[in-house]
Amino acid sequence: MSNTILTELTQKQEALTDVVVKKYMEIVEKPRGGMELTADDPDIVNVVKLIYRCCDKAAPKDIRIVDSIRAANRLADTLLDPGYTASPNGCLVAEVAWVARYDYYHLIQVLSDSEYADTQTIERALFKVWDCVLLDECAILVRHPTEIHRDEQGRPHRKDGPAIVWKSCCEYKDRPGVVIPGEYVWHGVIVNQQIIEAPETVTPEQYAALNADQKRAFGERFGWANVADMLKAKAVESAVIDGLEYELLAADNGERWLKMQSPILKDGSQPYHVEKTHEDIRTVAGARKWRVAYDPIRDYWWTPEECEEDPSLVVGQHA
Amino acid sequence: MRVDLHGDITIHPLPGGIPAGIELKPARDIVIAGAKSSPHTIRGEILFAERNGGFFVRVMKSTSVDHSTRHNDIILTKGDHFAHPQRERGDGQDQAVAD
Repeated sequence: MSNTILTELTQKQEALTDVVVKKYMEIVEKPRGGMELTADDPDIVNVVKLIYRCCDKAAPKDIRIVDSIRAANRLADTLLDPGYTASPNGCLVAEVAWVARYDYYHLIQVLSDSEYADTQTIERALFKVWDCVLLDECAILVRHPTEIHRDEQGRPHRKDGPAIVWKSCCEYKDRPGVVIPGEYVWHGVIVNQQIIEAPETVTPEQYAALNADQKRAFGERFGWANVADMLKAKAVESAVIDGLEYELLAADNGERWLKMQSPILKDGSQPYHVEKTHEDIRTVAGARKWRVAYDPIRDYWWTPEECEEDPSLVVGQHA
Repeated sequence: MRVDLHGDITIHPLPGGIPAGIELKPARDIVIAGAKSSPHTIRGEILFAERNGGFFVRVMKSTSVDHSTRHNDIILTKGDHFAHPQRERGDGQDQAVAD
């Protein structure tokens, strides 16, 4: 282990940080999904050996290259015993942050060649392999995407198609015959193809099944006025509470939805999202209270009637 | 009712303390929601007990609750608290807001 302790960087060392950042940013700025890649590529063979060695296992002889994460899962499912499923290990491209840091330490000679050797094996593979599914008898490696679309903050994002495009894609396991060309992402939130390419086809039931971030993404993609129309809901009350906008929407079938403005987020935005509230809620204040009104000592959630009778709520910190 | 809100997580202060009989365990950097997607994490060492879909938390020294992607930090002061997901209406029943 090196005993070098740096207390400040020289100008040359500082300049090298930009070099390292630029090197690894190329992974997303110039996707390499089109490059030729074979299972006998020395960088592939060496990283497989290293990863299995770290798990005290012998590397399998069977190494396969596939075009997408979905293809890796499908292949793994065919190889595994019935009842078992696999998911990507999140290795390789997910390691880029610490690999870049160690690469920099090696460049400024804090790490020796021998200390950096194993990390360098991963570094070389990072520029060829995106992810992997590692089985006892087969290593399935996913090549890089061919396109990566990002927003101004560098998050995966595309408003009219997949944000991440693979060289080829395969069917959804539960939707035979439907081939999805890539991964759909809205400002860093993973969504599905329907939300991005056909938001007008989303039903109230499908909307209700989305998580909070996906609901937010859908509203931004489709427009909140359209969301209200889709829910067949009209605003019955609007209010500004603690500087944030709220709107209670009521549908003809009795459903109630609360549209809420977020406090300022890390990226400076203040998005809205719409969540379903109880059908007996009548006011914005009641809906706002109903979301949080839980007594942890008694393990008791307030009823809608209690929330309407006493809608008072003091929010200290709100982020 | 007074609460702090961190995304879809509600944190109730417990001025009367965590009920007796609840066994608390030590933990560090505990994730209280969004473990598989975008975690809300209470930083530092605390004592906790998982109950009723949430967490009783004893904070020995003021710390922060942070979020991996979207939400700014909030402060969790020294004392006892309960953290849980907010609720929304599902298909005819209440459910925790999915992070």
